[in-house]
Amino acid sequence: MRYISNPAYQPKSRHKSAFSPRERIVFGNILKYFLYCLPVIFFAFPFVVLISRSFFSFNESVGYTEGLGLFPKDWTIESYIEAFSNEEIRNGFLNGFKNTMIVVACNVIGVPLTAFMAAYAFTKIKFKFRKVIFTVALGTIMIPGILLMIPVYQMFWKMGWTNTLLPITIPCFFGGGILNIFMIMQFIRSIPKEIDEAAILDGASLPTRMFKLTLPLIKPIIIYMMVTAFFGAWNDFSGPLMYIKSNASEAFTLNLYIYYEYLSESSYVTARPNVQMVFGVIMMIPMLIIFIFFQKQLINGLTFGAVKE
Amino acid sequence: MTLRIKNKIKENLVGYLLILPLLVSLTVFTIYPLGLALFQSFFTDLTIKRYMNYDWSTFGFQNYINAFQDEGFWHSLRLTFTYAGITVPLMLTLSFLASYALSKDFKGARVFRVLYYLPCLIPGIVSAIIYSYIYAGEAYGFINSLLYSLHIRDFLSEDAIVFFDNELEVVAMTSFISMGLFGIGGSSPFWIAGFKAIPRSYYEAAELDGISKPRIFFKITIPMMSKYIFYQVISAFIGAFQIGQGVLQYTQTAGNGNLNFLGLVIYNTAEANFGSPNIGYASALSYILFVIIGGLTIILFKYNKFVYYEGDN
Repeated sequence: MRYISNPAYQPKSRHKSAFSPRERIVFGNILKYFLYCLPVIFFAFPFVVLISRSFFSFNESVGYTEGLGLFPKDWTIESYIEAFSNEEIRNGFLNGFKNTMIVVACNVIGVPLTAFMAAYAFTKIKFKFRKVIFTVALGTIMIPGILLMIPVYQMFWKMGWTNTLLPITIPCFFGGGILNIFMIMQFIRSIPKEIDEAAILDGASLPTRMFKLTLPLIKPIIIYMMVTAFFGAWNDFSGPLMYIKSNASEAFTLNLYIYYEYLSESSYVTARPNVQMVFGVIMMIPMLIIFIFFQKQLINGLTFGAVKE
Repeated sequence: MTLRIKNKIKENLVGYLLILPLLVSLTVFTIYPLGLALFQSFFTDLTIKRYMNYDWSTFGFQNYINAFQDEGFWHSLRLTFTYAGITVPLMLTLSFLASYALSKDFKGARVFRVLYYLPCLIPGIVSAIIYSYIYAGEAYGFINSLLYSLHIRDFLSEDAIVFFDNELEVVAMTSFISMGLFGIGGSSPFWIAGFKAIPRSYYEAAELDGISKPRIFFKITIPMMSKYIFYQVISAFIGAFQIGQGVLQYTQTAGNGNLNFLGLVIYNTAEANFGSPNIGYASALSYILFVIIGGLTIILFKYNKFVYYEGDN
């Protein structure tokens, strides 16, 4: 009787479900993974198109009239063979690769280094007008890129830098971007002051304190910056396109080479979607590897700075 | 005393030495171009030459007056505001939620993080081709062939649906914005880092108190993420207002003018190796864009009562 009078007690409810608790966990997991997988269909779609179309035969890839399937009827690597069959293409590709590596190296070294220098100065050294300079620099993020593009182009053109790699390499060594500086500053601030003070008492010089003491402590953010600098430089298309014209093939970056040779209106293989996709796959591989390899650092790099602020 | 002064000088010297690269880039690559663009925006009929000769008889606000009297300018401005107004909240909300799901540690979480990020790993020049194929306004386009199999066609022309080049602004804009959704994963490393930085103890305490999950999400997660959200809102707005020549990768006609954003108008005005005689007009338009972006950023900074900084009390 007392069970009935107690509304909170419902002895049958535990057995109402046809499933045991264990089964319920299993079903819950299946449902969870199903929900996680649904967006994957969407996000993986461009990637699937990229891969599968690189394996189309030429005839099938241009057979628009019959409608294109997502996957080829016969998988073939003829596009991969065609992409590198001729020596001119191979040379052009290698030249582009060399140039891109130069640009990437400048970015990966120059951007974190100069950003670190500025960030160290802003946080650790009390020089005059540092707040004013920092505020002005931070304000520049509001300037639309296109506003600076026109005068900067004029500048490089007058200096004779256009059609060379200089406009996309030299600026890497100047400042490294105020947002990067800002992020590194957050990291340096999170290092306990005592470490620095002890080093000063021990008579450590400034370069020692900077590069031997501080730099190893903020390694995560530096790695993060190197990875993003790599991505940016590897993927940059509008920068090279603006400064290097189609007749300056010596200075082509990989992106530019592929664009002029395969993607622009006048190129001879514009009508070869399968070969275009081969270059897409090739361009993607380094980024994919780096993203997977540094995935942990990409997340940790940011976390550390956020914990203490 | 002299030692103190000497130290002071030394400190200043070292400081300026370290920020020298930044100072050079600020003056040479930012402030000087900014001034040059402002100066040139007051001239009409300006062509880039090795030695620029400025025709002082054209000096004045003519470029700005022309812009405000041009219907195309107002149209592009409206399009830019529409695009930014829709895409920023939409993308931020979706990427926030997706990253929240990805930030949980479960078996296979790292694989999902890569998969959600995949579209951002495709090089820009190639992804343009892929999206053009997906959104092609003909029967072979992926979306159209999908719709064909469902017997859906354009109800006006009874033909394949034209997406970017559609005459209806709604369709063109919707297609363009929906394409951006592939990039949701792009900011996920940033968001996930933020979610992981929230101390676990907050959640444990809330769970002990028996607080419901949605309430935890709104009362702990979102406030703790507020500075990340604020940073993303600012950079997303600044980015969205600059939308420009990227459109040309998908539609050469800028969607029949329906995607003729202000950034694209500027690019087209200054195009052809920047050799067109309209450098002045392009600079004037960019300055208008600068004022809009700057104004919005300042408003956002001024009226944010929402951001919570730890230890800020």
